[in-house]
Formats: sequence, structure tokens, C-alpha cells
Amino acid sequence: MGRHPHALPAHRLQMTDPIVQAFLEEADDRLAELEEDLLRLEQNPAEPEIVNRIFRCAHTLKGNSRMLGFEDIARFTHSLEDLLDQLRKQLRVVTPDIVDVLLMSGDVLKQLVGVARGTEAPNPDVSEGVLHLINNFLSGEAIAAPAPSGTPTSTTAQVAPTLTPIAQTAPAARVQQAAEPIAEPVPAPSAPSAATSPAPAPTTEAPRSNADADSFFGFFEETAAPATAPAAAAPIAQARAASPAAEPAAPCSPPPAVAALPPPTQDAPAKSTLTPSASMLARAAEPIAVPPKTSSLPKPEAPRAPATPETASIRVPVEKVDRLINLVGELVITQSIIAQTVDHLTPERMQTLQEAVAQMDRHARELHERMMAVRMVPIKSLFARFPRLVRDLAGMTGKQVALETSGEDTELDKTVSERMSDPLTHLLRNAVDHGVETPDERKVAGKNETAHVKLKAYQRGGNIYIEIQDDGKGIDKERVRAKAVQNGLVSADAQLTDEQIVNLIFKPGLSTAAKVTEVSGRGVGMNVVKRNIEALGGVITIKTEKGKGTLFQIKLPLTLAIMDGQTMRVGEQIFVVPLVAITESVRPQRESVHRPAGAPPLVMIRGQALPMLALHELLGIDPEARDPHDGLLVVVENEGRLAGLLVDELLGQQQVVVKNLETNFKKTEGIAGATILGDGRVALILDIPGVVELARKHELVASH
Amino acid sequence: MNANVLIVDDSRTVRMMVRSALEQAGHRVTEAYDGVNAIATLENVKPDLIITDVNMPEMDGITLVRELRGKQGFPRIPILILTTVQDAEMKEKGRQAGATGWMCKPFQPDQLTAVVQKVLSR
Repeated sequence: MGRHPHALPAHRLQMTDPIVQAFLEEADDRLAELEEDLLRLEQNPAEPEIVNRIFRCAHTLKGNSRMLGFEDIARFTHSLEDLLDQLRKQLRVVTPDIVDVLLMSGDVLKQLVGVARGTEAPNPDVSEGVLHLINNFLSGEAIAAPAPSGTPTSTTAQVAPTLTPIAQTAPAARVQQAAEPIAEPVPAPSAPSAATSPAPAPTTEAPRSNADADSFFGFFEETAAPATAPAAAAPIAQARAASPAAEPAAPCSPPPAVAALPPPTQDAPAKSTLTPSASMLARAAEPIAVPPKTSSLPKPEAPRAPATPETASIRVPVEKVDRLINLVGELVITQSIIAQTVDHLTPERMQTLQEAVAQMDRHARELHERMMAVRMVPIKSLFARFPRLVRDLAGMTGKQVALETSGEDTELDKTVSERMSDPLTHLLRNAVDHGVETPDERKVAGKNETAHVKLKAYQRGGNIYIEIQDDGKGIDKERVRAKAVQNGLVSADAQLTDEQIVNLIFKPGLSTAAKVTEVSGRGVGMNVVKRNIEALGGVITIKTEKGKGTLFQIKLPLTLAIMDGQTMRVGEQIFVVPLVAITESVRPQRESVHRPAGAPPLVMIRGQALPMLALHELLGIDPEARDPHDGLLVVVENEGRLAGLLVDELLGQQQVVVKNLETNFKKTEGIAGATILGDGRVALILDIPGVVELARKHELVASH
Repeated sequence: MNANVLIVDDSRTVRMMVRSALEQAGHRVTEAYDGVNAIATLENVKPDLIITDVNMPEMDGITLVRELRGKQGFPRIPILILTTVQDAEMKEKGRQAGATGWMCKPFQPDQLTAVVQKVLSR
């Protein structure tokens, strides 16, 4: 390999580099596992396998972040690793305090990863604070200095170099340069390839810059080279001299390399020889003489077989998958075009073509289904954050809450999964904060002091269901009603079913919490939860029983990329509305339409006044029906309110492949996307909230 | 000399980094995520060099080296263990298990290719 004095040190990798992306993704995964394991550790403080897993997590994060130049993460994980190392070696017992600090460390690391990703602002106060806590533990008297158990590192020695991470700032270029002056004086031996390689490990007497290089790599035989060599160059000469001899010697050597290695005679020499860390730890180790050893390792004899990587799973960037899904979507469309063409063919060719098309149809569908599956992720990753949330909330509210999760392997579209995070967080917060009672209250009510919150996911038919169930006090319907009346959401004498009352909690501006607590009441209400779920094409329902608890059931579509839609026509233009948004279609009576000044026209449907959204007016289309009575009114629900879309004709219901309009055109108000119909025509998918907003603006303009 | 290198590490960032660096240098790279997976992979792939992490789930790197040198019938293939600078104990364990050498983690791409070149040219 050539010399690259300015070859890219990995820490200058671009954020877009796939390795950096892989690092960030892996860091997310590891930190999620870390948190799970910490919560487990809290329950089983003496379980060595958990401690080892946690240690491994910190260790991997440290190594990876250092390789890629994320110095803040490296520095933090370095101290964390030291603390975990003490736990692992049982020099320190796991106490609740330590678990707390470790959990905080996980939070800091998540934040630091966010900073690395560029999605979060640095918060050095917090990270330095937690680092300080860790270092307090490390420097506390509880530390039993690593007993003469053979561990050559001391905690304090490890902490110091974190401030000057030499390994980080010594990229290969420096290693190469360091090797150069040493290599040159040596007459070129028979192993020319060695000339460009970095120096092998010499003794610890080597100059510092050299030691940097050496601390990186070594052959076990060569580290055993005699330290009697007068200069740092000696080991190289040694290695070269040994090299030619080694090659022919190889075939004669006993096959197992183990046998040829110097037996680990004494502990001490072996250890010192194997500690090439002089520069890192600014610590000198005495050079130890071990008899030189000819290499017994022959060249690899195996003929090169083609590499067949075997991995149990793949991680596919969502972007790539989206492209494939789009492509397959096109295939589905092409297929339907062909299908329509076939209808006009001569009878004798019909059957063959029809069969072919039927087959293509099957294949296209299967391909599509399989491609959609690539986007599906187990809900596990979403659920993983909640045990910690519930633990912390229970601690803050003085409640005893056990969270039980099930159905973690249920798969959900990646985007849906990500967007469900906030709503579920809110619902779980509510469940702990408002849903369940304090241990005392529960005891009085004859319940177990520990409340149970169940988080469950399952698939049924074409939908995914997520349920959050608590065994708390249930929703107080009288209080909800009173609050709604007080806030003017319903009139005091309104006749409401229990279900209607309970559903009032989804109205904006209704919070029944007697006091705004630290936990809930942060301005994000149940109305936002409902809106988020509906934006995903989902539905949320409540079942609650006083004294027994509350169940929230969320029903979500399997995917966002395909939607059940109702097609409708206005003039020449075809629109699609998500089927879930439509409640009914009616032909409005001529006298039921009212046009108040400065507001959208209203239409009376069974005594209820709905805003009428005349699509032809809003979108500037030439319609067939200017008179509402000649058209159709499609009643849609938007954020709990009904509105009527005035269209010319309802066409049919069909699954449509949703295409983003912004990618190819631009963001257009009132339009959520587009799709291509079977006959090749483009239909626009309506964004109902956008249309409502458009109507509001339209009236503002019209009234001025 | 272009070679087949098997990288055994439970961190996919490390595996990806190794792959990227070595493929740029003209080598071929196969990945395994722990010792057990490495042994399974070795049924189909005959690498010229194995680089293995030490602390991994299922089977750690030291056990892997021992297994390969022993009953798995890979007495001669060069195996490097990935260690940290300070961990003399681990290096000693690796040596006893029959590893060929050690390499420090974290590493930079150039360092890795240099080491691989060096091991392969022996």
C-alpha cells in the first residue's frame, strides 16, 4: 500500500458516509439495549451476563466513536467503561445509585449521538455533570485498586489519557512517518513488502513517536524479540532477518501454530512484553528478554474461495426501499394498463394474453407485498423505550407501576412505528400520571398496590392494533362532562352517551387533570394524540370502567404507501380521499345550503350544519355541478369535526399507491399526494385538513 | 496480494469499516458477528486471514481462536485478535489460545490495511 500522509483519517468522514450512518444507527440500537439491560440489572444486580452485556455496549461505543472521531462520545464512554469494568470485575457492587448514574449515562449518550447526528444541540453541562458523577465513583474510596490479579491497568491511569486521546490523533500517516526513518537504514532484505509496512512492535524503550505506531499492532512472536537490541531499529532488522528464515521453515514446523508459540512460561515477562502501551499511559515498562522465535506460521495454504457473506439479517436504508416500492408500484400500474388493452384484442389472442396478464398480476402483487415487508420493523424497537419511561414516571409520581409488554415481534411500517412514538409516550404518561392510583389509594380500593399497565401489539386482518391498558381508576365521566361544559365544548343540557362523553377527552382544550403535573400537562393534549394517529390513517378508541381501568385501542393500517381510497370526480379531475375519513355521501337538498358572509358555505345534514367545501371553487376546476343539488356531498371527518366535500360524482373504491407530489412537483395546499389509476390517469389525493384550511383562506380573500 | 479476510465483530460499524478499508485495498471481506457465526461462515469461506474481536455474545474471540486451532481444523490460518492498548491480559489470552498477533481497536483504515499487508506478506 502506498503512503498517504494526508489519507483520510476516519474522523474526517462526512456525515453522509455510510459508515457514519451505520455507526449512528448502531449507537441507537446499542443504547436502546443498554437501557433495557440497565432496567434488568436493577432487578438482578448480581447477574454477571447482564453486566458483561452492558460493558460490551459501552466498549463497542467507545471504540467505534473513537474510530470515527466522535470525541465527546469516546471520552464519555471511556469513563463509563471504567466504571462498568469495575462492576464486571466485581470490584464494586451494583447499587441503586450506580444504576441511576448508568441510566443517566445512557441518556447523555443518546444526547451525544443526537449531537453527532446533528439533530440535537450540545448540552455539555449535563454530560459533564454525569461524567463528574462517574468519575466520583471511580475516584471514590470504594475503589479497590485492581488487586494484583494481573490486571496491568489502574483506573486512574486510564482516566488521564482520555483528555489527550493519542490513538485518535495519530492517524496512519503519522504511523507511516514514524516507521520511515527506522526502516531506511536497514538494507533492503528479501522481503520487500515489509518496507512499506509500519514497524513491528519494538521494545518499550523506543522513542515515543515510534511507540505510538507500535502500540497498535504486533505479532506474538515478534513482541517476543530480544530487548537487548541497542536501538529501536533493531526489532525491525530482527523481524526481517527472521522473515526469510521463517518461510522455508514453515512446512517443517508442527502444524498447530499453538505448539510453536513460546510457551507462556512466566506470568511477568509475558505480561510486560505484551504491554506496548508506554506512550498511551506515559508509563515505562521494563524491557523483557524473551528468546527470539522463528515464525512457524506458514502462508495461508487455502486457495481463495469466493467470499459468500452470510448474515442473518440485512439493514436496508429506507430510501432505497422506498424507491423499490415506487418501482413496483409502477409495475402494478403497467400491469393494469395492459389489462385494459387486452380487453380490445381479437378473440383468438384473448385467452393467451389474459392468462399472461393474470400471471403478471399475481407476480406483481406478490412482489409488491414482499417489498412492503422490507419496510416493516418489529414494534420491539418502539416499545423498548417505555419500560424506562414508566419506571421514571412511577418514581416521580410515587406510584408502583409494572409495565407488561407483549407482541413485540408484531411488525409495523417503519414510518408508522416512528410516528407512534409520541402518541404512545403520551398515553403511557397519562396512564401512569392520571390512570393509576397511588399505592395507598389502591390499598383502600382493595387492589394490589402495584398497578399494571399493559402495552400490547397484534395484527388482525389488514391492521395493526396497539393497546394500552391500565388497571387504574378509569376515566371520571362526570368530571369530563363538567369540564367540557365549563370550557364551552358542549352545552350543559346536551344529551350525550357515555361513549360521547369519554371521547370528549380528545377535544382540544380539555384537560381533566386537577393539577398540571410535571409528568403530564405539557401542552400536548389528547387531541394531538388523536390527530397524530389519524394522520397515519389510524383510529383510536377508548373503553373505560370506573374503578377498573382504561383501555386505549389504536388501529393502524399496515402501511402508509398503499391506501384504501375513494375516488371521486370534479369536472375532468379525479380525486382520492382516504376511505377512513369518509362517513357518508349525500345529495344535498337545494334549500339546505346556506352562504353566510365571510365564512365557508354551510350545508345542513340532519339538523347539523357542516361547512361545505366546494372543490371546484377551492381548486379552480370547471365542474359539472355548480349547483350543490346537482352534485354529491361527501361527508368527511377532520379532527373530530365533519365537513362536506362537494363533488360531481363518486367513482369507486380502490387501493392506491401513494406518490409524493413534492418529489416531482411542489408542495400544494390541500393535496397530500398523487396516484396513477389503472387507465394511466393521475388522481390527486386530498389532504382533508389542508382543504379545510384552504376553504378558510378562500373565504377570507372572498370577503375582502 | 489480494486476500480473503474474515472479520468477526459484533459491531456492524467495525465490520463495515473493515470491509470498506480492505476492499479499497483490493481484498475481499467476509463478515461474521460472533464466534459461532464465524465457525458457521468458515464452512463456506476459506479466508486467508481472520480478524476477530474478543468480547462478543455467543462465542468470544479467544474461544473462537481456540476452537479454530483445535478441533475446527484451522491450525495455520493467521488470526489477529482486536484488543485495546492496555489490555495485556487479553493479549496473553490470545497468545495462549494460538492467535497470530493482535491489533488495537480503535484503528484507522490505513493502519488496518498496513497490518493486513504485513500479515499476508509473511
